[in-house]
Amino acid sequence: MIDQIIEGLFLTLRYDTFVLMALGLFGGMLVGALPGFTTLMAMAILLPISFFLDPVVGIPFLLGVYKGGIFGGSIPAILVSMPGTGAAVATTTDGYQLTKKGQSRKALDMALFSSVIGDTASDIFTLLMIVPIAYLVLQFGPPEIFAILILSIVIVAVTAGHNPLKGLIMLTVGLWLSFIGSDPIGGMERFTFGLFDLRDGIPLLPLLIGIFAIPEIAKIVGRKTTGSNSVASILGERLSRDEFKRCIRTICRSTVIGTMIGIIPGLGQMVAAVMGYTAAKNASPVKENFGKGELEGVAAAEAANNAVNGPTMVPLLTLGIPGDNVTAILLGAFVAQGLRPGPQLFTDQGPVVFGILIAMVIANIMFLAIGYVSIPFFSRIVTIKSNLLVPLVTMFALAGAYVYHSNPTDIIILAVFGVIGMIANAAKFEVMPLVMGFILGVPIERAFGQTLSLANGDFLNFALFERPIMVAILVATPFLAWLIRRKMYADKDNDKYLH
Amino acid sequence: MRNNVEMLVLITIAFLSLMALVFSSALIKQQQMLFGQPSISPDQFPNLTLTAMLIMAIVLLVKPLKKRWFDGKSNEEAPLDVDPDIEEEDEGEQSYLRLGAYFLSMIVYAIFLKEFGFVTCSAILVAFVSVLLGARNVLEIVSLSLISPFLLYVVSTRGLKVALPETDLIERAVQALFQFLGLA
Repeated sequence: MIDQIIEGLFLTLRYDTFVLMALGLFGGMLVGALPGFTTLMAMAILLPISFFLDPVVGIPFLLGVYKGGIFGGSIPAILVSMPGTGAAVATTTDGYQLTKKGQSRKALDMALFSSVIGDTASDIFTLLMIVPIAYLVLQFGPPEIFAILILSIVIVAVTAGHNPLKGLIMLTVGLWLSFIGSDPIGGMERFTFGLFDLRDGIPLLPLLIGIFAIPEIAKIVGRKTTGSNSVASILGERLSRDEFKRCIRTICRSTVIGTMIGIIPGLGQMVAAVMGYTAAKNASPVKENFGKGELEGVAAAEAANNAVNGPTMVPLLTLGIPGDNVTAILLGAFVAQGLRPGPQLFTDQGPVVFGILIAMVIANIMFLAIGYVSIPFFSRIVTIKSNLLVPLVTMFALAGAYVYHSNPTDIIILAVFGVIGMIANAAKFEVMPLVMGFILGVPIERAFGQTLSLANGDFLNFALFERPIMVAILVATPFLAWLIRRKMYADKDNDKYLH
Repeated sequence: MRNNVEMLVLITIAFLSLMALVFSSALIKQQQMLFGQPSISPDQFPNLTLTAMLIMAIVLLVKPLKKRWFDGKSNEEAPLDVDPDIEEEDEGEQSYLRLGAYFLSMIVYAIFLKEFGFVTCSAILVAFVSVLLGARNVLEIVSLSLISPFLLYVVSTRGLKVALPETDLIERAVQALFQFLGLA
């Protein structure tokens, strides 16, 4: 393992990785800083660029966009009370109050430092934990993998949105979409309606760009927003050492919360930020200051949402389970690069995987430097005109959908999924369970088929006496899903933000 | 309004899943077995999923429909998913027309992309979407729609070595420009 880590380090230490990662960070912060333009949209649109780069360059580039975007979202949250991303929703509460008090510079500095600390600590945790978890997963056979996949999709479905049934319906829609094409066991055609373009199934890339990026762009088109009129300005002194020291305990607590949430598929940054914020408020001796411009509030939310970034790679790399919508896009990047996530990835492509994980840690150091220098620039971006940006973003999205297969049909598929995403948004159906169902549909069916083969026609005896772990996971699935959902909405503060 | 959309979505999902179940034998090719028996037939998993989808959609539909028809309450009084904090968005006719035009422009772009090339199609698309979003400064629109597709084309084809469809005329112009700049 040490050899692989060292080899991975050498793979990462190349100038183009650093340049592309810096570009990704800058681009992510830029998009995150624009209200209405999300990190998810940026990643979906920039995903195709990574296909044409080496894996240790292309994937760190996307990780840069991811990390930069999550922090970038806190800039408009603090300056104009408009979270650039969902992850920054809890930052708005105290961040904007600090701006009103003329202390926006302090709030932005605190957001940056706590983001970097939360992110770095969770990345190191990921680097240390991922190998033991991968070795554990290697001991699993198809029945256990099947049970874990079911557990993951159920957790994602029931924790997405207000109504768990709606999440489960979207999950089944995603599963059904994954059936289009050839079946993974016998290769028979299903639901292709005789269309040649559907024989290989629905392509992942246009689906991801269409369902994640297009509805966000369409929202701006529908509203015809021409840019924020708010004047974003950076005021006040920088963060002092004493103020930072006062928040260290909160940052550590939020980092732990974010890291734990990151491992569980489906919860993501927003849940982490809200839970980190609520925990900080409950632990504080000056609870009444929260919501009125408390620096600890900004630190708690930002450390927690950034601490999610690293651990979401654990289920992704070891089991091929994307923990949230951003890691679903990263999964697309891995697959396009010929890196099929799963325990075998560590034996087949160990150095590349470690190279990518090391790049995540290096990205944080660059993130600190770029963020510190460029905060004033990004604060100006908050007010840029959207009627100039939306056409460019649309062009990038369409070109991105086209380039992978050089097939214009992919653009039509993108538009169709854009419409599906918009309708889902309008009806308050979350799209993440659909994407999870689509991505994991084939692996689930394959694992289920292999399990039935192993059972040799006597599934009940096989499951109960030979594969008790599978049975235990399947039995525990509804209880675990219920417990996680209950924990998520237990606190009134959490409920307020998450709904 | 939102509840009507929800109802429509659920009715569509229920109807489509029912149709897919009814016609599954026509939509899924059956395996011709030469050796042994497959562990799972190609229609087993889809039928299981479609049945679950149908049942859940019906369960979600039953409550508001029951209230609407038997208790005489309107749909607005029997919400599927109560969420009072959600602000109603701009849902005027203009907004729908703009969205329709936006999606139509994507379809037209896909149809003509190979014939007219990336730069031309993208320039028209960028100009159209800018105007659609309220941009009225001609100089701004023209410069944005001419420069950005050209730059993206050059970066993609020369920098990332990605193939984008283009007419001979524009490709020759790019080559000439590169020769002029000494980059060819």
